[in-house]
Amino acid sequence: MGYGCYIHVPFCPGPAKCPYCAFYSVPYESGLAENYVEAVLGHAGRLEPPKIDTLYFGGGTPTVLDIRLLTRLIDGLKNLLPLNELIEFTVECAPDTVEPEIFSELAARGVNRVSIGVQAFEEGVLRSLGRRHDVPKALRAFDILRNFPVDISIDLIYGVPGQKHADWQNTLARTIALRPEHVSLYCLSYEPGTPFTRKLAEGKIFRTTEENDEEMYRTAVEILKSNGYEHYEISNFAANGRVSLHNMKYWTGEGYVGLGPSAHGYYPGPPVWSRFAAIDDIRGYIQAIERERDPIGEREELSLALRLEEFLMLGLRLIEGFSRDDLKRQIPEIDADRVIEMLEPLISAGFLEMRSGNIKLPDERLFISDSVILRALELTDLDIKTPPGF
Amino acid sequence: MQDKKYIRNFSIIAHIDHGKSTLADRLLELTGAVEIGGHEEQLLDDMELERERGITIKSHAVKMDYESPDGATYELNLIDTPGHVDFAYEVSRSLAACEGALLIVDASQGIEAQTISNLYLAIDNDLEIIPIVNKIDMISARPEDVAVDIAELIGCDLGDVILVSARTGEGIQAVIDAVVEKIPPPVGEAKNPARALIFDSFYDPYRGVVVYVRLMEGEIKHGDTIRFFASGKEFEVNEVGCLRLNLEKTSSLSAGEVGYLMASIKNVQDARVGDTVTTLANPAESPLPGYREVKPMVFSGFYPSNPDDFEGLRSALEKLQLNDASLIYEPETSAALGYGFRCGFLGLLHLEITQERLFREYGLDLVATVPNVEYEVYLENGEMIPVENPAKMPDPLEIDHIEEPFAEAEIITPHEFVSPVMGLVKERRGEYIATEFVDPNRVMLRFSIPLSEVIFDFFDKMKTVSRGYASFDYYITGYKRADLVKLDVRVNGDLVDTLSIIIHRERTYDWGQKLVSKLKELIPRQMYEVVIQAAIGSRVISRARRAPLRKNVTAKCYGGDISRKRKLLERQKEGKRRMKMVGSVEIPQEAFFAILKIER
Ligand SMILES: Nc1nc2c(ncn2[C@@H]2O[C@H](COP(=O)(O)OP(=O)(O)O)[C@@H](O)[C@H]2O)c(=O)[nH]1
Ligand code: SF4
Repeated sequence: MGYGCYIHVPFCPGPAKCPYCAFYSVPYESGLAENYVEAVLGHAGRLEPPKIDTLYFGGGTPTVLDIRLLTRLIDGLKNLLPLNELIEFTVECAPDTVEPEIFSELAARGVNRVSIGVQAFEEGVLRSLGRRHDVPKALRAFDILRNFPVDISIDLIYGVPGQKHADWQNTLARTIALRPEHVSLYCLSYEPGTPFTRKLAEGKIFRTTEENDEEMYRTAVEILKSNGYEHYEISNFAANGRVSLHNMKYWTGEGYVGLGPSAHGYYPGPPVWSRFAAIDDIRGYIQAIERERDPIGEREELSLALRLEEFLMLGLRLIEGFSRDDLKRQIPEIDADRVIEMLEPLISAGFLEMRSGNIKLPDERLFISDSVILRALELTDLDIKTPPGF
Repeated sequence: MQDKKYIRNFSIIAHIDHGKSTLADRLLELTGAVEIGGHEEQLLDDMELERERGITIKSHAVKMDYESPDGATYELNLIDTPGHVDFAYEVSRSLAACEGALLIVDASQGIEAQTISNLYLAIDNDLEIIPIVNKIDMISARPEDVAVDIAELIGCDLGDVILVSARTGEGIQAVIDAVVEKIPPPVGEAKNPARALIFDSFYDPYRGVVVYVRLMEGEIKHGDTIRFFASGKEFEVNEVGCLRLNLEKTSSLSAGEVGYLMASIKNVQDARVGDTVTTLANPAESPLPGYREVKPMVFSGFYPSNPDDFEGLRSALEKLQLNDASLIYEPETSAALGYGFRCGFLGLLHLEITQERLFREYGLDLVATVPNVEYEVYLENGEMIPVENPAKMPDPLEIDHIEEPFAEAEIITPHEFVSPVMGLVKERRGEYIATEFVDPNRVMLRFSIPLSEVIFDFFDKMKTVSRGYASFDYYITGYKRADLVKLDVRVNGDLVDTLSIIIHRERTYDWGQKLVSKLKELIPRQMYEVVIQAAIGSRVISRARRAPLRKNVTAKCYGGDISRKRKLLERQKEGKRRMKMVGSVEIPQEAFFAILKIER
């Protein structure tokens, strides 16, 4: 398999960011956008990556880029990177940025997957979320996209203050009726520094209960599965095997390069395993490229212990879990049998299970995956001689 | 050497806040021991903690020279006394070193419980008492009324009561005159066998232990070999002197004088308050009366929050003990908290001060278990075992009966609060003994009450029910039989040993309820359901369940930002490390602290 390539497009239509969002983005400015595109291409030109087979434009909102810039970016990347064996090319978009003219250009350039930030098919919930689009706009966007040969992935949010169970069921039903190839779910989280988190602290909104969120999650899993969607990762569902190949790379320890401010990359070894994050400020990033300085803001070399941590953390997010062979392949230096032995207490307590040779989270534990993973990390901690009792 | 007839040794006794420290400052100024206004207020409280809490923890003493109008120079030794009931024994020893005492009463508050208990101590020591009404400058002052009450209380002439304002300085000269005229000079002869009473000692890292003494008989000088009666240990004196604001070296100390001695003593345990020092050159046959070994009354397990600090805690306790003969400790282990020490204290204040010093001076963050008194457990076979740790309670089947320490307590309260105060006393298992009239508006209630009931927040409760008007003091009388049981806390069946307490049977239900619901609040949801129980033996008296965690999931690894997710997990992992594991249940440290704060 080849590498993935993630391009962070740090622009949103504005004027303000969505009040719950902590991703790095700035309001769209055409001059800045132009410099940004040149910087990304400059960055790409410095890389000597191996073959790349998935491309992912995320954001922000990539489709706010002027179509001229977007095509310049894609064409430029094609010249600079080994993209001739590209299998999957995803672009994220917001419903109010979907226009036929844009997508005909994109489809012509190989975009074959679109992830659309619908969030909800309920006006009330959309308003609570402070989104710019409404339900008709979302439907219109979907209709437009259906005219192109692209897989469509719909993003949905639950656990929103004021969102009723019936709202959520309605949103799920309307989603299924559209038959997107892929669905991603998010539970609203309160990220530091966002307006939502501030309102929470001020007592203007109230956090939904754990029970509520779990109930919504279970409902979604049930409805999606009974409608033919394969639940393949904690938050992701695919029809007819149309999983996100790019995202799969994150969970299976494959390499990817990251371009654009705050984009992350991963270069697995041997001999060294490193993670990178580009400078997370657009002007800083552009300047670094223009002045031929290093655009990487953070770089981390993974120790054996960290590689094992990540392996467990990511592998257990997949519904099918991981196998002994996956572990041997990804971390040949450690004794896979010993690691699996160390996880035994979690298996016998029913927090993990062994299924056809794979270790995985039982369905009913998915929603407490972080707790289980945490315990798994403690049990397998390479730095601690005796793991804590269970 | 000073002629004895010009020496006056005295203390000041007062209820807290009646102005003891302020008056002492005025005396120091008037005798020229310090310059007026050129010093920080309240010279005798020199520990930072003492200042903050407004109470004297240790005794202090200072020598003042007073030029009397008759031309003679008097040596006035003021021996300060600790102002808290935890240190009642130290107070009595300081008083034993004196011939007289100034009894101060606030002109608007009137006589309070500590006024009376201190007065009794002074009378026990045959001291000449000089009654003083302070704060007469205050608008709410009722100096005449209060003077009448005091005269009645001590049985003196109204005309003997001195009215002063320690703030303005009014009446201070009269106080000094009374000290000179009324307090008898010390008796005792320099040629007699040496007997010096230790009324305080402290450890100085450069000079070793500095022992504060009052020479009752004989003399001690540089080079003498001295012997301590209690320990039998002998040391060679390398310095003696008198107590100015600093130590002032002299050639000798002789009968009647107050001063200090140093003899390369390494540990305050060897120079205990109340013990007698004699010299080998002129040895006394017996010690002065009144010494007793101070026994800790309150016990608590101290556990370092960070298990790696165990050795640090040991050495900090060792260092504190150098300077605190009443602090005791021994290692103990707890299934829940790991390695720590069971420490014994004179009282709750002593405990709090120690904990605070460990934190401030040694940077040690501790989990302290619910404090308890020492019980005497009588077994079926007639044997008695002292139990100062609930976890060490013998099997109930082996126990014949249990006794607990009792105190006699005195509460002075205005009439209108008698009934709520009595209610509180009853709630705390107190038994009424008698009522006495203190003044036209107030009575003194006397009763017997288990020590365990008074040491925890009784004082605060009493202040609340009496809107701050009642005052309180107590002293320990002995052990009495009581219907006590050990109440355990279990989480998912595992005993949380450090939360066990010994409690009166009638109180178990109430306490169990509070404890269990507090723990339910504080124990975070976990992967399993957590069942919290309060139980006596196998009988569960209260129970709560903490539902299992329903949600702990990271929604999405956005744009391949794996590091962020890993760091979030690592932060959770770090948080878990600070939890204490009991079986498979994680209990945050705050839970152990919170238990201390539960209302009884
Ligand atoms: N108005 C007035 N206040 C006084 C007088 N003497 C002491 N105080 C105040 O009463 C409080 C308690 O005095 P302090 O000497 O600390 O009492 P202690 O606890 O007995 O040592 C302090 O705020 C003093 O300033 C006085 O004669 N008049
Ligand atoms: S949620 Fe999406 S559109 Fe909204 S501010 Fe964040 S990145 Fe921009």
